[in-house]
Amino acid sequence: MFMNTTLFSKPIPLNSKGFTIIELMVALLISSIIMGAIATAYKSQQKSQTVLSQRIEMQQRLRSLMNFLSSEIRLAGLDPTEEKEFGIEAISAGSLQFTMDLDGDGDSDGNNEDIVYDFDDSDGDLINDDLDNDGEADAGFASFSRKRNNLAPPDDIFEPLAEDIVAVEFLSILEDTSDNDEYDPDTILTPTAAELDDIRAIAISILIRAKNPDSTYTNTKTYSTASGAIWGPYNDNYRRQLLITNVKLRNIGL
Amino acid sequence: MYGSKNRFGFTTVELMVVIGIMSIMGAIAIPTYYSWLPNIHFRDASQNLQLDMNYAKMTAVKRNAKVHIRFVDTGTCPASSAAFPGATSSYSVAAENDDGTEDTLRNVTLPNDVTLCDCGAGTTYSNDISILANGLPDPPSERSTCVVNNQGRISELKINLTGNVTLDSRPSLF
Repeated sequence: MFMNTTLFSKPIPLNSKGFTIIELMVALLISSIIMGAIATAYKSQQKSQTVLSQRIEMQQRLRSLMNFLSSEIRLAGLDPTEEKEFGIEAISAGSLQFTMDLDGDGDSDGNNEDIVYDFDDSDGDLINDDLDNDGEADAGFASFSRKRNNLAPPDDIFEPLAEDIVAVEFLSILEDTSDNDEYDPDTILTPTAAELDDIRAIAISILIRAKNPDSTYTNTKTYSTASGAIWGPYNDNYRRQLLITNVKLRNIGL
Repeated sequence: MYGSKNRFGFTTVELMVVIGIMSIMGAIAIPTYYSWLPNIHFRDASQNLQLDMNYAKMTAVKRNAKVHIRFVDTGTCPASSAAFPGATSSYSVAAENDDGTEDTLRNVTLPNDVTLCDCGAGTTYSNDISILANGLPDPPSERSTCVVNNQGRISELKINLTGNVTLDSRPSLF
């Protein structure tokens, strides 16, 4: 009661009212430091969010492409009637063609029985996206496509499987014919026609890049494929991701 | 002490001024908020649809069954805000059972200011996208659906041959 009386009923003396300039400046300084810290934290959080969403997006595209390729390649040479004429038809660093007999009618004439994977003309400039067929897209990125060879025109076109693919490598792993008690098969990028029947597995390397560049990031990384070839450095603002998978051809060499 | 003239507190005038300032600020903020709202709805709707398509794919694999995503009330994308459809659009996710019945897993109605539509040239639209138990679309081809709001913002939702779902923004319609 006594406190209240002195506080509220007595007029406050003039010289004790308000803040001094020093107090104000100190308060301002402290609050600006706090605000600065909050802004920095927010910005760095936002940046890592961008990075992560780019990574997730690349990873998802990469995995669904790899999953699709490997599950179809695994069927190569499927031959329930033992005709012995299906398998890898052509393979190079950036393309693959194979046949199989899915419906068991003794030939590979079905819609899904003769498959080609390759870069095609995905940008519509009437020039193949990988002219020298080295597996690296000439423009730095392109859609990787699939063609079903047995379809009649106009359906026998390359359909895109994944966008923004930087490079692809199909490495053939041949049958291990050496007699040294070790599994050390020969690997070769462009096998001869005679060697096609000796392919027992294919190591697929795929390099994908993010849809959008990130101006705060410079990609100086190099990517080493299954054959030991080096892709990069690209020295641009795109993030990239590499995935290598070994696919065993369980229907070939039986 | 209650009769004292030096008691602390706000006068009616002070309160009125504060209320006046607040209502002026509110009057400025509310229209801005309402113009944001379609964009917020648009962003939410397109991201939710992408998540639901991935969910449909996962459910197909998990249940070893065919899953359908069906779109309702969609047509060609509006070319102007006047052509923006008045009817709401919706979509559902349903999994097939062995006995021929279906379990409806999601039933989503979009807000009035957002609609689903056929993206048009260069894309293939279907109001029933099915996903097989191996996670691949059936029939095996690329399918697109567009999400548009009444401000003309548009994004394309695409499921490709490998079953990958992507959400790409497109240039504004109007």
